[in-house]
Amino acid sequence: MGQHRYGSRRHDDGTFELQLTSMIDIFTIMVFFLLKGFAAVMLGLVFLDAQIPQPVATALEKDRNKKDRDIVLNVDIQSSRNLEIRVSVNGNDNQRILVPGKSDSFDLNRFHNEIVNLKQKYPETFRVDVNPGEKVSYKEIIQVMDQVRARTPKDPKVFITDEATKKQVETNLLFPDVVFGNVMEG
Amino acid sequence: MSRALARLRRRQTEGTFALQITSMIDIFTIMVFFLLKSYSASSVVNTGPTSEIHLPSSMSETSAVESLKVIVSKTGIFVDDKKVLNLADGKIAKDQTENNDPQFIKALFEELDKQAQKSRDIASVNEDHKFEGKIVMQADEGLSYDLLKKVMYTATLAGYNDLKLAAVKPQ
Repeated sequence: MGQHRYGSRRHDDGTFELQLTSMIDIFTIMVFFLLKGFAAVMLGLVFLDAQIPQPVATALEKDRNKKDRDIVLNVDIQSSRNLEIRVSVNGNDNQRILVPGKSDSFDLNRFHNEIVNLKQKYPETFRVDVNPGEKVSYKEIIQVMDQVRARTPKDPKVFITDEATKKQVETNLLFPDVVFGNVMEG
Repeated sequence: MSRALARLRRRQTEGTFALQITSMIDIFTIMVFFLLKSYSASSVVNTGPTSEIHLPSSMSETSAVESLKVIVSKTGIFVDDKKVLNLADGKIAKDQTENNDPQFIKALFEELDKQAQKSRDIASVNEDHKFEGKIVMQADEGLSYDLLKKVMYTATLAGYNDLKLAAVKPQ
């Protein structure tokens, strides 16, 4: 009994052995668990930087810094499950696209196709003003934002012109700058 | 020395052996402390959803950012885990908003304004710190825009106009 009192085994020569098995078990599990979490964090950081090629980043920054916007895109997320896209060019209403709801939900596929078409028409524009209705849920807002922000592999390719080289550069971004246009309306 | 050799010989004759794992334990100990530190400093962990809310899923690949957290659940609004307002099934009581401005949530503004002032005070003495007006909103997926709009409006008036919406990656 006395031999195992401190988790150790005494020898006659005054030395002892520590029973570290359980500690090593815990450490091994912790190392693998923490390594998994650490890898997820590191991968996330790499993904973020690798996303936008330099010419696209430049065009995005240029669009963000515009004081007067010649092309303004508005998306109304209506409580009636309709989605309406309004495009104004130089302050004039240019185009209205209505995407009617489909059996009590938004028709996100058709909406996404319309957004891709608009991006091909206005490739240098990266901002969209979103105006959700009061009864629209947070989940639905996120779903609409997902459709607006980036293209999927099935979509037709989108190109922007690199100002420095005048070459066409492919981008996966559609309208990543989403602004809630009706927050300050009261 | 002779005692150790004798012990080794005795063990060898018994058919057992002793593993020298001291260096492995050293490595493991260092790794555990290093990884624990990285894990606790990670913004991904700090912006994790609370048990009270169910975040919607998103295809976005943008990583979580370190900033002031506003959590909107069906039972209340929290600023950095501190409850500032009670909600009844996602509805806000009329006396919690301004009479002449129903979008303005008083208690939330007071807390956000306090946080903004604290951040500005730190920025005034520490050049590395800058008040950017950045806020991360975590909301339950079922909440309506009616409530979220009030939160966004109040946050904007408190100086937080860079809003990030939190979501989780689909399983």
